[in-house]
Amino acid sequence: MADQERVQLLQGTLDLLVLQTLALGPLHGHGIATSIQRTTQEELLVDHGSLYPALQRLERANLITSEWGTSDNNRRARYYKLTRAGRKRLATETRRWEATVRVISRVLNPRRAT
Amino acid sequence: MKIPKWLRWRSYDEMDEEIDAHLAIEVQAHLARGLSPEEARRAALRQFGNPAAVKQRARENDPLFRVERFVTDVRQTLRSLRRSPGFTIAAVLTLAVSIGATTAIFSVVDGVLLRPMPFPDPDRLVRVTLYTQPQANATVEMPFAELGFFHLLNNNRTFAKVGGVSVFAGANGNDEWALTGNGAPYPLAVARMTAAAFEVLGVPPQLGRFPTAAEGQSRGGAPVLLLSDTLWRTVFNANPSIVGRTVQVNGAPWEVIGVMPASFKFPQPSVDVWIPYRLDPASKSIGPPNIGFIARLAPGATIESATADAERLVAGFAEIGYPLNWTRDILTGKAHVRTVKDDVVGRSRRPLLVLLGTMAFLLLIGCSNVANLFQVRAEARAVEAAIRVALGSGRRRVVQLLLAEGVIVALAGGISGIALAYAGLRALVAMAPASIPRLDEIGINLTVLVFTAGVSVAAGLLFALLPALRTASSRVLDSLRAGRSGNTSRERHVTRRGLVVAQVALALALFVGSTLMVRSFSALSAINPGFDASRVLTFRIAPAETRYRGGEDTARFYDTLLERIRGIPGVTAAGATSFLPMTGGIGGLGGPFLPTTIEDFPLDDGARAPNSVFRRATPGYFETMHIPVIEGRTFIADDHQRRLGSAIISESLKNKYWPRSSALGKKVTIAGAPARIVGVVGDVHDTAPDAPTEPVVYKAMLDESGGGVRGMAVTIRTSGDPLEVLPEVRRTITELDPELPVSDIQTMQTVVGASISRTSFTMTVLVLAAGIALFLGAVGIYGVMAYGVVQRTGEIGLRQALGADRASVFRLILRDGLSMDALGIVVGLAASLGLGRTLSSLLYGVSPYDGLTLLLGTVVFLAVGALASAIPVSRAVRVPPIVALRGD
Repeated sequence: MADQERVQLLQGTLDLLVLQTLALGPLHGHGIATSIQRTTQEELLVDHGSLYPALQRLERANLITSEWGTSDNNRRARYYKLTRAGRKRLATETRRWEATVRVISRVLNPRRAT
Repeated sequence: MKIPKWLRWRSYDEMDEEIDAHLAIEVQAHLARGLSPEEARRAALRQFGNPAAVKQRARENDPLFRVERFVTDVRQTLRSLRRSPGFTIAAVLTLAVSIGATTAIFSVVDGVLLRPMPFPDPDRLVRVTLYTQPQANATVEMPFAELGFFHLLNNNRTFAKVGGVSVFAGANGNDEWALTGNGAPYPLAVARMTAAAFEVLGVPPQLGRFPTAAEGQSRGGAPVLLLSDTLWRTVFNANPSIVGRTVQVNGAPWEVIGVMPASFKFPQPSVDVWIPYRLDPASKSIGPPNIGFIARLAPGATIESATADAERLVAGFAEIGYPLNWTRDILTGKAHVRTVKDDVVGRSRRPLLVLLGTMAFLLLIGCSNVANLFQVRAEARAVEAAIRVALGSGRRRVVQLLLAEGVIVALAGGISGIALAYAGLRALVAMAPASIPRLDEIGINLTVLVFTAGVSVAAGLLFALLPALRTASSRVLDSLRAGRSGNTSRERHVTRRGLVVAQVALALALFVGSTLMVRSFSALSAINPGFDASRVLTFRIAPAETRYRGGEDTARFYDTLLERIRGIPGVTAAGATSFLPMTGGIGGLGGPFLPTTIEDFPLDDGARAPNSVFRRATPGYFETMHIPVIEGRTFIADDHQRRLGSAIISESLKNKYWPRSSALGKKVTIAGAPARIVGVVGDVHDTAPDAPTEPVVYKAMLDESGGGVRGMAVTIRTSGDPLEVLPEVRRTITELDPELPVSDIQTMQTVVGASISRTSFTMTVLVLAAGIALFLGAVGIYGVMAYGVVQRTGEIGLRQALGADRASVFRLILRDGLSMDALGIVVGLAASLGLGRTLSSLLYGVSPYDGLTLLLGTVVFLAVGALASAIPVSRAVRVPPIVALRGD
């Protein structure tokens, strides 16, 4: 798929995606990136590099923790895990996101509104 | 700066490892899909983005990152400043000088002129003096005698309360005071004030009480005194129980009734002891005038209404018993009312205001120089800034970096400026003549320090930022192109040239002003004062009334003392006089100014007798001072021992009455007793070298009137350094009278120096300021020329490549610098004329519009301008054209 057709990530949504991905279990940076790519069926344009500042931000906010572990192919990698606060944040952010989507779609597409 | 690992939230190494791991996994995945290692690596990077940028962004998340970046900025700036020491030194020096010098000067002016006196409601506190005209061409301000004082006190409508202060320590102006009874006598500076005067001034004692009106008024009142804070602390160990105790003064018991606070310094800072001034309201005394009149203005009264009121009363002096000639001829019927502060500050005002103007000039020059330096610097860095932007640096970062340089230079300049201000103030106060009042109240004025520092630093930063902001906002390519070809906008050039012109103009004005002061000073120093001041030691003594009963005893003491002093090895002559020349006196005259009648020239009825300065002198005085004898002889022992009634007159007095004949043997009456003229001596400048000489009548220590004098200034001429004989002189005095205090020990040269200290002080400060201004002006021209020449290197190369010879290119560029210089000189000359008018009252023997001085200034500044322009130009024309054309 050409880059132009991919969906650009909205500001702030990367954090939400990372939290959601980690809700399924601990993962390292590369794992998170490929997981997001896979679940979005490659429709989302994510620079893998931009993941790391986001991970740092989340860890500083105590939403995730991390520790060194070994990857499937025997490399040292840092594994990230959701904290209790992260789980709570994921729930509220998800609700907010759904509400936003609902409102925006209502505006953009009044007839199909529920 | 290395921040220790444990301080970091996460080490950079860990972050790098994590990112590397990510890439490795990605590469492996691509390899597994069958890509070549090279392709796999490229694909992984494409997916990831720029690892370096990611790492950087991750680092910026670190809380310590800002600190770290700041330190890096500072280090980078310091490195860049080290690489251009010329700019750094010039900028820091200029800032330091403009902050330091101006703050120091302003602090002096503020301490003396601007800060209110330490009295409650100082604007209502006034002093009244009388205008008198002892000579047709001289006006002198006089204090009051009792008759006039009480006339004003009782009949005025504008003063709420009136006090009297003795103008001289002793009642007759020449007795000495000392603490006695405890080892060597401790000399005291005494002020007499009426009880009301303490209340007029309104400063309560810190311990004890004021004298009562009874203590103040009855002539035989109790001997009580108040101590100064300094005396209380140094001699009485700040013992609070001193109040009520008795101390020995001149051998008699006095009761201490209080201690004044340290801030109380009236009428002079040097006062050790205040004693009640006992005045008699019934007295008909009209002289000698010794009462300073101080008062609180009544509610509603102004300086103007009080002046009118005082003049009305002075005009009525004839009706209350003043002789007709006092009111008609001596007094001009004028009174002067002004605040005590104006009275204290008096003649120091103008020199200090001139210094204030000097400070403003210096600050202006300094600021424009700083502005110039920073602007040139910032423009030089504009290319660097543009390159940074082109390479992806944020514009904010670029401005930040340029600003960092300004801030660092400003800080360095500011700190050295503050240090310079403190050092400079100390030097100024040490250098200032003792005649400038309130010197001890001077401290660094923090407001001014902040102001000058703020102005000069702001000037630097503003001009550092302007080009930086322009760089940041303009299109990068334009800046790069402009930087290479060396074109700066015309508008920027105009500002800079304007600044240089202003600098040259201001510096020239200061130069002319200081040259005028130097010429005044040398003219003053060149005046022959009428005596030879070199190698003469002087001091004052006043044998105590309790030990030497009458005039005869005292005169005998002086005879013995002088005889013994003449015997000391190294002493060539010794004598004494009642008033030493140039030490001031009543109303600034060299001694009592008394009516003088001459037998051969009787006065018309009602006409006043002309005044002469009256002095007593011992044998040996004229020989010691090298005052030339015009005719006749000097005093001999017989003159006073046998009361011969001998007088010696000054040359100008002789010429007035006997221009072509001898004055010897003629009779003159002054200070009550007739005397026969035995000699004529040369005129002496009595008050200051630039003051007119006054006619003087000298009499011997004793005459038929009974006469006599207690306190005298002893003068000793030596063959070597006069201070070397001092220990032996002291021993001689102690042998004769261990209780006798010796005061005002100094060389005659110091006395003369002090009398022109006002001029020398103003001169020194102006010369310093002018030197600094000249230097700054030269730096300004040099800076702009050097920069301009660098900008025109390409043009210079082109001209030379096309066949212009070095000399013509040199002339072309030099003309540019000289035109700025010349314009500055023209403006500066105009400013000098204005400054000269302000200075005129401080000048002596030189016109404020002195052509020679103006010419000198023009020549000096042309030379400085030419030199400052020629150096960079000559460097530029020596660059081979091919190198110049290649540029950069």
